[in-house]
Amino acid sequence: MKALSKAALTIGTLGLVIAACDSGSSSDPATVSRDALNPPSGLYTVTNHNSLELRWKAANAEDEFKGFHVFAVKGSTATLAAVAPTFPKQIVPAPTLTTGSFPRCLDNTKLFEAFGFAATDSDCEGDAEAPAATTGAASTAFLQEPAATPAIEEKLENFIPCKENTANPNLSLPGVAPLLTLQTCTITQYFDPTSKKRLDMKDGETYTVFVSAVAGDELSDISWTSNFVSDTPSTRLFEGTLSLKVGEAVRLPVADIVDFTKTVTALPAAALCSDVDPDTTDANNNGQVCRINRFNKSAADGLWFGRLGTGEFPQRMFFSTVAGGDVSLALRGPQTQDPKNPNIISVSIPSDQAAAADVAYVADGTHFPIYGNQVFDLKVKKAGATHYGKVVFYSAEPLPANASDPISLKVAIVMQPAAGVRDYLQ
Amino acid sequence: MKVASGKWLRARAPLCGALALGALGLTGCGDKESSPDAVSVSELKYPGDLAIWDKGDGKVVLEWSGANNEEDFDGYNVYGMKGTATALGVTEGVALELLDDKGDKNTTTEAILAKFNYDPATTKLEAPGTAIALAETAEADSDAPEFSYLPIHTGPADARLLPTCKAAGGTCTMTTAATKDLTAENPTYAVNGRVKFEVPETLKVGESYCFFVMSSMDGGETVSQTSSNVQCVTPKYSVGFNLPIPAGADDPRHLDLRAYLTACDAAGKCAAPGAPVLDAAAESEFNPSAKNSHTASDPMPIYIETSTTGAVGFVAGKAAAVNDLGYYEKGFDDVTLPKGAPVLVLDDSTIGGTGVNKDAPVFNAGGYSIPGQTVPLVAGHVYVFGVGAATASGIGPFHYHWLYVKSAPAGGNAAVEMRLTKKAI
Repeated sequence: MKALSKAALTIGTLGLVIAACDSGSSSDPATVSRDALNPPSGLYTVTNHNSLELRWKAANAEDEFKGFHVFAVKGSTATLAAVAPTFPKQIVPAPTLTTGSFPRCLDNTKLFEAFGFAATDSDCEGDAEAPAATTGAASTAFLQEPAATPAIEEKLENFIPCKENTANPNLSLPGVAPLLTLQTCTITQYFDPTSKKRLDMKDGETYTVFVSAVAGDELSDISWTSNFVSDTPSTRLFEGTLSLKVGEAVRLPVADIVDFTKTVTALPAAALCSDVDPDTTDANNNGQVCRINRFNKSAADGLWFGRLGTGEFPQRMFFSTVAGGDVSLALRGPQTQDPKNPNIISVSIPSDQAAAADVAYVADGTHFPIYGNQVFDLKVKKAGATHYGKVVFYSAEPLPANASDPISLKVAIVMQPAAGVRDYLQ
Repeated sequence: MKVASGKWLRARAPLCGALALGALGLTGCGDKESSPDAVSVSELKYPGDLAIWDKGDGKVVLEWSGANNEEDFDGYNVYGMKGTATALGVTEGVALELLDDKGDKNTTTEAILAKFNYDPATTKLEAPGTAIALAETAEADSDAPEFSYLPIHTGPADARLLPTCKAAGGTCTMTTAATKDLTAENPTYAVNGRVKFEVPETLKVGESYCFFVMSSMDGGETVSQTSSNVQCVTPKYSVGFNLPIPAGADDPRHLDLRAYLTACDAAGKCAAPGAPVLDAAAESEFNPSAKNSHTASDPMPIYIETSTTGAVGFVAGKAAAVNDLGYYEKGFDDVTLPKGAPVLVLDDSTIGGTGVNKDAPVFNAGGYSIPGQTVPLVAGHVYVFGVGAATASGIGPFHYHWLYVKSAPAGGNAAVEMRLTKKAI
């Protein structure tokens, strides 16, 4: 068993001394101190369809650093609170699962068992061996010796391989990684401690993930954890291009928004813009300026996209919901700017949770002007429950030479089918 | 000059082992001494992702990412000085390297550090100080320190405490006599994530200042050979007041941000605006029949209008534009609020066919309204007003002023906070 002992492991001949555990192996890596192998930090997720994209900061310059292992199980950090770690205790303020970094050791055994690690008898102070706290069912689930010469990830049943990344962060960082660089990993599976297998993720189910750095030729050393993050994959409702002439509007009905099983391929045409606010006139809207200063008082609830005015200013599009309807909006502005790709809009918004405060959401029928590169949070009522989602307006298309021609803007609408969950997806 | 004996200086040659570790491929060794000593990333990880929060009226907060679990890690040295990036010889977003590829002193960085030399006894962050750390041995000539310029620190000249600050719980606080010996051996003082540091000095509004941070060991004597990225900030004025909301369509108001900035500059700070800066708006020059239909032809940069249906919005006038950055739960303190204003794009060729926007050919790209376009006024939202100079052409360098609507309009007013930029771009 691997303890956080004071045994000194000298790497190379240059005098770097790492306070390491007993020697680990690829089949059961030893948890080493944070000084010896820096844990990843700042983990967050981007919600995808049947998958999650993980992003974190690498902070590893250790000589034998090899990469990262990703771990995922079903359940939220709230459900894991029952097995919350109790070490380290001396940090002020005390770390939580979502903010802290934790070693695999005796005081934290139950937490790590939930991720398929065997029970450990390693004392967290690293000074002594202690009896195993539990003999959990997962004690044999962690790490199976390879039958032949498979990839490393195939050895580790509770280790989740990354998918769909140009740079697989698991094992591909030789030597020194750029410090404090953003690492990404998309996972489609989680570890099930009961069956001791990796299973496919599903939309609507919540998972908790963490990442650890690994080092050594045999990946025999593993760092303390990153912070833990929960997220719920879900699906995309609509993605397409709006194409609107002056006075045109389209509307996505509430019934489609809260269906959660369908994908809309086209937004249905709605009443002309002049009918959006039928109880007022456009007497002051003389066509020289964009006058999106009415309220959407239509009886047809849903998401409205339209183009007002006479065409002198062809970019004047609006987005609104019906006053007093079941859908409300919160403009999130330039959060569309993805730090991973700062010069482009992305629907993969870091920390992609909808605004929590009720006051953030506008439900009075306000028409928001649309220019592109904008994101709105959605809050939708269904059967007494609240569902969250978002609408993303991509970069503006070139405007037509003739104001009578339609203008186009790509838009994506996504919804979180799980009630009360503010995560939404790519 | 006697400086911080035992805190800043020491005579040793620490670079051999550290630099030869291979991480950076450095091989330089010898009897060189540095003050502070610079060690490689393998021995001490450097900070990164430095950002600056402008808290208004000269108060700024630095925030960076750290990954410092080294048992000897004891905090961060913070360097700052007045000047533009060009004048200080730095590049925003780029780190400084204390050593060159051979592990020798980087003379370019040394020259830059001299410009950041901080001396609380003289001019603090307003001009480089004269205090220079010397080797603590008597043989000053032979033991001349390589990097002997002082970061922000505490204490009188003969008892300066370094590193600048101790990080715990996400906040880096100035080192004190009581905390000077604390290291990451106590995990409370290890760092895994973002760290904030409030610069103790009050900076001058409208002046440019640049900052960078280095990780520290041994009481500031040993630092990461790579700094954080350099970031610069130009502090803004700060003011809070009640913004009157027009009761109806015939009662529009204007906010003359050009005159307001002039008044702020004259007073050295901004007071809550009154008439004529914030006053009843004249009827539209272009639409005299409609008081609440101001356009690009109207002279005031910002109008506050209520429509016939009660919708309230900002409308930009001549040479101005409004950008709704969206909802921010904590306003100017929200971590997701952009540090810089979006770029305002001028492009007359794509704005209409009649040329009515000739006084302010703002293109919507970047999220700015075209002049005359209503932008809804919503509680919790942060707005940027791009206000061009009132030149004959109507288009000049722009000041970017920020406004946060703290609360929903009540009693005829909305509580707002503003950050006004003294410096035009």
